[in-house]
Amino acid sequence: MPSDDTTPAAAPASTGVFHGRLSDGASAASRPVEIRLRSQGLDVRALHQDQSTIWPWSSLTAATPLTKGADHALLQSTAAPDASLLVTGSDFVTAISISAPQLTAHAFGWRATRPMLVALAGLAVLAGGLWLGHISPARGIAMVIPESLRRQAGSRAIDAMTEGRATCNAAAGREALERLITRLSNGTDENRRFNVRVINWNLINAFAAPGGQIVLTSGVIAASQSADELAGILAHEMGHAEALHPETAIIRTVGLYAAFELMTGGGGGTLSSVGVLLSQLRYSKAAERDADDRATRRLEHAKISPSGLANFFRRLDARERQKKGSKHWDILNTHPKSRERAEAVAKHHVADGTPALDPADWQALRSICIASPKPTPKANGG
Amino acid sequence: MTTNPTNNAYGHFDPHAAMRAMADGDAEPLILSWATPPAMVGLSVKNFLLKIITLGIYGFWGRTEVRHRIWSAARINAEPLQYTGTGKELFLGFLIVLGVLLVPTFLLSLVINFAFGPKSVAAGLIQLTLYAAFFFLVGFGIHRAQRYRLSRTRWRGIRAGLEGSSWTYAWTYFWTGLLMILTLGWASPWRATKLQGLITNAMRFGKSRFAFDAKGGPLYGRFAVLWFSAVVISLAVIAIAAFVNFKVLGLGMPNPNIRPDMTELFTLLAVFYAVGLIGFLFYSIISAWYRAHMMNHFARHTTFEGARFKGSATGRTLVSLAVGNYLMVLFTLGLLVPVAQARSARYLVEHLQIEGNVPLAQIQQRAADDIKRGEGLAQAFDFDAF
Repeated sequence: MPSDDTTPAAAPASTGVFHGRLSDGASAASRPVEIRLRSQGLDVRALHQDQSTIWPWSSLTAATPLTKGADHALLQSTAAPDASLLVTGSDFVTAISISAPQLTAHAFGWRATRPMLVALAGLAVLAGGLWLGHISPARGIAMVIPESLRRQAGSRAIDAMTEGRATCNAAAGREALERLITRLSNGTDENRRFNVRVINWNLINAFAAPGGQIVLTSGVIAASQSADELAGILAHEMGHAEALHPETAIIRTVGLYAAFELMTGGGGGTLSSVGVLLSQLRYSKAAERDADDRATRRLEHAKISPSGLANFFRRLDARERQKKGSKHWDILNTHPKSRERAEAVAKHHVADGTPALDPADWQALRSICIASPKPTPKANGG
Repeated sequence: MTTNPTNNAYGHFDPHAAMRAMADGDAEPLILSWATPPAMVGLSVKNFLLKIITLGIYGFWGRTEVRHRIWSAARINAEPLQYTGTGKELFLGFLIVLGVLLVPTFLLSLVINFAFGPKSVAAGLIQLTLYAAFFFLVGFGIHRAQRYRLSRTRWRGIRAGLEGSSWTYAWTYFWTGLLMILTLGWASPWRATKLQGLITNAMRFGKSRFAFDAKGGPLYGRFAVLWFSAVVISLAVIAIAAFVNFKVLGLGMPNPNIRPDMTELFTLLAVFYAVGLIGFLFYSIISAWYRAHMMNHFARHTTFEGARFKGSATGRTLVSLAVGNYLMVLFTLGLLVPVAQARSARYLVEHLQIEGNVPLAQIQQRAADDIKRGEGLAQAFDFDAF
């Protein structure tokens, strides 16, 4: 090692000669070198040696991308594969940033970001294509899940949502309900087995869970003015179940949620919220319209007048105007634009229709919760 | 080391002697120094925005650029360290962990929960197994992350590295962790020493080894103070909480006829929070005082090619580092994390010295580590330091 230049990495001389240190990459020693800027690249020369190596501009890579104000450049080159060259001084950094722009932090950032922006644009196009083509990956997944698993999932979901509330099973009411289910199932999809549970719950709501499982609250039965209305509501939920809307919505939500968690560096904790998100499912307007269409067809097949359902929607609409976002009428939040839906349903007529249930059965169904183990403390009006 | 030839007559470091020693081509002293990295705030803002725009994916590249700057700010004999990792490696590492670990685990838990119910024995067993597996994987991930970072660190073109098995480390991490629970924390100094030894003894620079010969014993004095302080502080806070509770609610059911005095209530709550905060601060200070001692102890027992490390951490400086970083990250919602990381790195560099000379010309290059992807587990479990 020459002993007359011991400066680790000296400041540049005014003659255009910069001083630096060169490591050969074989040992941890380094030796002083002189560097000159040439048109084709850096001229690197060990002190007191005639032989020099040219490091071409385009062959240079920087250990740390060069920024304004950086006090050094640590360079490598394919011209000297294992070697690294350290030159200190911001004027050297400025000089080579111009000759070898690929070394700058700006170029580094752009190289890293560009593929990502391209990938994002690709994802946006893909998502747009799926949306325009009405292709739902979540529905695709829902369709391949075996029914037994969907049924189990549905039961768990209902258990979780109705925890602490009694199921209404008064014998006469249950028989009446079974007759209504059978009537609504006949002639459409005979293999479709619906499992309808009545829950003692003041909330006016009905919902479908995975695996053809449907919940009616005692509240929605009490709020129905006729058996036809309740039949319409039930047919609507059957429509959701038959179209796999609950399964699709759960898979979509879980997928998006998991993707979000993972992207933001979460990773755990998602599981505990699955129960919560089940209760927050919302269907799209298209899904609601689909369920309405299926409901009217089902009612027509069963020779039940759809005007019951239309009636129910009309009363919902009146409530909507009267009390926006009432807590009790939870169904309002899930099913927007009741008036349009009432009109759409009312277009269908069933000439030879008969009431959904005879008066005795309807009365029995309305009392389905009376004999249940835990009657509601607050009596239900209407 | 009083015989260090680079120290002058007053025992202070003499740069001219250091230069002469370097020129000899024999063993040289190693001087650690820190050169403030440029534009860290600007980089923080840029990374933060790009991370949002790219839905988080740029984070891996942003982190890499931060490491480039932090590594190059750390100097040995005025020559910077070099970080050679890439954003792509970090990203792929994360994707692998996502694909083979997180997504399958998530789906498994989902299916189990739906099939047996969230409160079933099966779901509980699965959950317990997962917790144990994840605790084991934390150790595995720590070792892998260290190995990746060291393999991507160079000085004068010479690679650093970490040998030893990640499984061995993970297993040690796991069973000594269980011992922590059984000993109510008293295994902590012994465990920290054991784990540090597993890392340091496996650390290489070029083909040369680091060595670690610390015992946990000397840490127990300060640890006892920390442990008993923690107990006393907890008891004090609980006692005051109970007192406040009693004052507000009385015994048993609150009596609706007696309305609590609101002024008194607020005073009591203020006292409660003040005591909690003071307790926490006390604990932080004592804990920093212990950690500074541990850092210096570990440094003192770390050697490299005949040179010995020396730490000069103090509780006071560690507390101000921690509090500063905490507030900085808190008030900028994480935006200034890179600045905080640079502060931590600076602290380390400025509170470590190397005593004795190292024959640098004899340190040979090591073969490149075949580790291809970086730190997926560390990313997933978020125990990342830098």
